[in-house]
Amino acid sequence: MTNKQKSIWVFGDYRNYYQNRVTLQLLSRAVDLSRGLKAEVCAVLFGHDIEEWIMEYTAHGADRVLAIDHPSLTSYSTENYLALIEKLARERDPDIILIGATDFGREFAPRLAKRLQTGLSADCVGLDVTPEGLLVQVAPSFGGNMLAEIVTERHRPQMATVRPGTFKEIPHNYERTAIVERLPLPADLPASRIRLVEYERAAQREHTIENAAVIVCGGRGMGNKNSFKKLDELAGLLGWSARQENISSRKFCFPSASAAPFSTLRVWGKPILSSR
Amino acid sequence: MLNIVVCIKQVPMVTELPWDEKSGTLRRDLAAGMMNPACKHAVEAALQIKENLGASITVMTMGPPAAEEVLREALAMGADRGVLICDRMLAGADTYATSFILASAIRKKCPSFDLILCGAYTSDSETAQVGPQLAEELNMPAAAYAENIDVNSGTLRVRRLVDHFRETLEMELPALVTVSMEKYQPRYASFSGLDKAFTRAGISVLNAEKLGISSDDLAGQGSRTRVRKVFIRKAQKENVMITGAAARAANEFLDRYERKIGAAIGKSIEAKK
Repeated sequence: MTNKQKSIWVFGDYRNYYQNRVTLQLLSRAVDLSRGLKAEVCAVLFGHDIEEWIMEYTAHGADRVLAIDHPSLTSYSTENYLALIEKLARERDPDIILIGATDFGREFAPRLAKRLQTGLSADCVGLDVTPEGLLVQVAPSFGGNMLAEIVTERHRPQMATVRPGTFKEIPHNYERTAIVERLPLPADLPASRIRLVEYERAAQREHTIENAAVIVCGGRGMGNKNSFKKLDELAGLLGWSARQENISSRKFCFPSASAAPFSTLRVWGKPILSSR
Repeated sequence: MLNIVVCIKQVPMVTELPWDEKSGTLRRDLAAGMMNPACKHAVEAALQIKENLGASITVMTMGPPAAEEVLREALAMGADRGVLICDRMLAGADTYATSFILASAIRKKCPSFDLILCGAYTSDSETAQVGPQLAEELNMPAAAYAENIDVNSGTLRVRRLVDHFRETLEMELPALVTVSMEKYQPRYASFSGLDKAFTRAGISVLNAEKLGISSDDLAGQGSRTRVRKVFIRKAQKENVMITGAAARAANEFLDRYERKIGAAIGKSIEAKK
């Protein structure tokens, strides 16, 4: 291998609060991994008016930020972002690229891996490096019952998407500095073949699994439908207004079934949460 | 008439699975199979497009000989023909190799496709990667997690919910879409469909040689990732069982967790014992 500075890239996914959180979590893990690899941590960021994120990623551990800020990048676009990151990765040859396992990341990362002709593991719940510098990607398999250690031995970069909440972000430090490279939009950026006709923020649920303080759940052992009223009552007593939330008809939806830390079981037509 | 290819996968029906410890892969031959649920939704989406606009539907799968079952099931639901890619040299392929092999089969058997549908993810490996990587192989626009698909004179319109954003996307055909399980509740196979699936509709079988896949692209060399080890997940949190009469169990529960729960919800839940 050459003596060039190794680099761990973290894709800056920031479109909503929880996507941004996973970016911070990945930066934190990248900082840990960078010590063993003697690598720099580099956040890669596309969008418009992104100064806020440049600052935040610097404060959370990035040594370098590659930023492309342009009005045409105002809305997320898989195809545009792919073209941009592919070009950067070919120029700079990062050792590792980490991407949050958000819906966006899970569509974006496989295509990037294919373009760079390298491996990708999905939805990792653990990352480590071996003494030889190989990234060990721990990914769930078979509904989370099994874990697999996956490695990409012969190809670079090593790529993984990581499930939100897997790592703890490090506290911000606004004293930190990073090398910020503000790069121009390439003139030869191919036009996206996909038109975003319209988009709107979906009504955000007040309570999500990710930020729940207490989860009340019942399963088959509850025996019958009436018993669940007691759970509604309990949830109410614990500060969750069953009436407002219409608890008994409420279905927990996850960004995708695979990103869910719990599975939804329907028992008597009722959504029940159950740890899997 | 639209030419639709639906890529489907047979997945194990059970969660306790026989593993080959040496290779770190599943002994698929020992597990009962079923059509992956999201793939079934993709078949349904194709059938609804066929009903509205007219289409010829090819269902395609890669797997062991038994994977023919899911092709027959899709034919019974109303698909027109099946393609089984079956070769021991393809076993254990990762998503990188799998998407290459599927693309080769599509180029060979349905070169004039308009639309490719896949399930958004499988219930066994859950990577959600094969669809997007197949789009990349075939150099096509794609959208993942589609809830609704409309085709209108060569233009595809997809509605989807991603990361709490409701999006409507448009692209020209040919394109690839991975279908979520929100809509497109799969139909049951009819008796006449079953009859047709086993009498008239044909399944062609392809191996690596027929596909002209070189050894560089088979499962071994073609895969970019390697599974080093598979292990049972250690419980990450301690499970506590409290048994006994309800009142006593409740008291014990409160004795142990009153403070913790109180702290989490920010109010005291002092028990009335």
